[in-house]
Amino acid sequence: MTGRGAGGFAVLEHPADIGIAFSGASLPEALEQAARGLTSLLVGDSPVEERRSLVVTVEGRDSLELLFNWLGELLLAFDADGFICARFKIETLGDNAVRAELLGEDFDPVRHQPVHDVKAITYHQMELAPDAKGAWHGRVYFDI
Amino acid sequence: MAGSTSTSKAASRLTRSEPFVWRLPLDPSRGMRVEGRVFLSEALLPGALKDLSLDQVANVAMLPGILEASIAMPDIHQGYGFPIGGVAAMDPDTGVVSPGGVGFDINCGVRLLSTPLGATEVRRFLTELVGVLAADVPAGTGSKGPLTLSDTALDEVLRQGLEWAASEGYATREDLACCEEGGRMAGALPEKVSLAAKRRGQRQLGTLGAGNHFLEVQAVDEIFEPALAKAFGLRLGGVVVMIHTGSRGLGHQVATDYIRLMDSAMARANISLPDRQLACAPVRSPEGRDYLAAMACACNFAWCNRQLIAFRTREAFRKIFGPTNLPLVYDVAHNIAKFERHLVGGQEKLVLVHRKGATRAFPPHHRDLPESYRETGQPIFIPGDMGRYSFVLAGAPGAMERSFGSVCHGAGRVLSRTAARRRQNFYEIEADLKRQGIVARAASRSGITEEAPDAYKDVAEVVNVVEGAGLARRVARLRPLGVIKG
Repeated sequence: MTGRGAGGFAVLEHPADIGIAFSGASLPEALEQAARGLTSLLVGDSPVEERRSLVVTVEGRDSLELLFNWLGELLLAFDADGFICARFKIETLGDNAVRAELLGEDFDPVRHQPVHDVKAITYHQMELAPDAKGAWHGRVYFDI
Repeated sequence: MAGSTSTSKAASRLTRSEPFVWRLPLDPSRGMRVEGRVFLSEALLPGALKDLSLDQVANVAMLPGILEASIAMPDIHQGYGFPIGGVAAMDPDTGVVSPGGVGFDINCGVRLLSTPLGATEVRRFLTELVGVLAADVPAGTGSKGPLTLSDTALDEVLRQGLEWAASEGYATREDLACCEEGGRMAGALPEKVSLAAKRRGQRQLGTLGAGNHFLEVQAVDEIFEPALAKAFGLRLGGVVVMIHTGSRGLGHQVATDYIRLMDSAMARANISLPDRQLACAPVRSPEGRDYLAAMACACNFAWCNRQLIAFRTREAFRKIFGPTNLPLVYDVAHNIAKFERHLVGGQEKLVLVHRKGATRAFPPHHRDLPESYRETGQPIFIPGDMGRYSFVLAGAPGAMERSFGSVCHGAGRVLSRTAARRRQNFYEIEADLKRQGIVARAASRSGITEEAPDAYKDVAEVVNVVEGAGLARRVARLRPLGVIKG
């Protein structure tokens, strides 16, 4: 797994699309790793600078819907507005709700090499849950 | 953590019932309401057993209101909820509609333009032509289209489809006649499309996208049915252009929004399904009606998208070859849900047909075909993988009898994308294509490596099955000369 500390993400094989497995010491850290995984699928390891910020609030009826909506917001920011995230400040607002400040910049075709055309987040074999020690582990597949 | 390559449980229950048809027997104890019917051959069978696609065929058979069979085409592979290559016809009064049965790329489809030019004369200017097309047709992740639509204009695109394109001068009346639904699906309500979807689509009209989407300059390489080929405007050695793309971010967001909506509605009603991606709602419910109205908008967007790319293609040919007529042969959708009339239990009735990675295939004399194709049956385009053949087919009566008027959509992937990228590098594939005389331009490296020919099932075998099963007839084979990809 790549990433800092105990968490990180890894790319998963799939017959026609692609997924990531990710983890973090807490729910916000796990969501951050999921977001980093999505960013890496979009622009690989192209350097992303912190030039502007965006605030999003996301919730779900369970942890899976939270993950679905969280990654959906990030994909929307990228596909509609060309925004790529470099850093995340995520705080939980209650069960299955988070508020996040996203720091990043606009997609620049010269500096950012596109990798995958991620169309959507799917519920296919999606997982997100804490283990006995309180660390969070998740998995999600994307339609590309 | 395990990946998604679990073993199929349904595989052991699959039995061959006749040439080209395998069955998953109806098993009410597993919740199936109808049998599974999979069009295959011995050669394609191992591929169908390797992933979870047969389990998905069995899951679809559980949906309320499904009629006759949960059907799958020979290019079947694992999708989300529905298998890709899946066809399911539902009773509109008792049945459900499922966004997973349409796909994220609503109205992903293919159109073919014919030209009066021959391969020899086009080859002389092939590099320049591909260069102009690559410059004029935006492709790849993050690319913006030639238009940024105002909110009002976008709503007109969603509501009117190709009627909008015609009023703006991007489409001729002949283009509309040669498109499924005339390029405008009725019942489109832009207010049922979310702001998020509109934000994604606003700057993407006229873009190719990435993944397996492409624009190909091709030559007619072989003709199987001379009379049909002539009626389609195809001649041996003639150059044609194939455009494969869909509704871009707008459609993807509509699918996402309604999967989420229906998933929540089902949770509230305490309905559970074996797969969350099968989220559905009764056709006649508010959620079902809203999805169909939004889906129609996304379909209209996709037809306008392919039309704008065709417009740019016509301009590119004019720049290189002078004034040249590039008529539209036809435009087919392969991710869609349609209200159609079919025979069910000997009676003709209205049904809702889901086609996910499956193409409509209406036979000769079908009332919905344009006059020019009443005698021939509907043209169908089956794109092969990059560097290999594509096929033109014509709908046959067997499709109406056995698959609710449907055939395959293209070769299914055998290698996962990550495996494909490891297997052949960009330079090897580029060299391979060059050796075959194919000029390829991709906006990204993965556009070439992930779409490497090895990554796909052989489309010829898939076409062989649909012809053998009587669903369609082969008309011509097309060979790529130039490729634009995202």
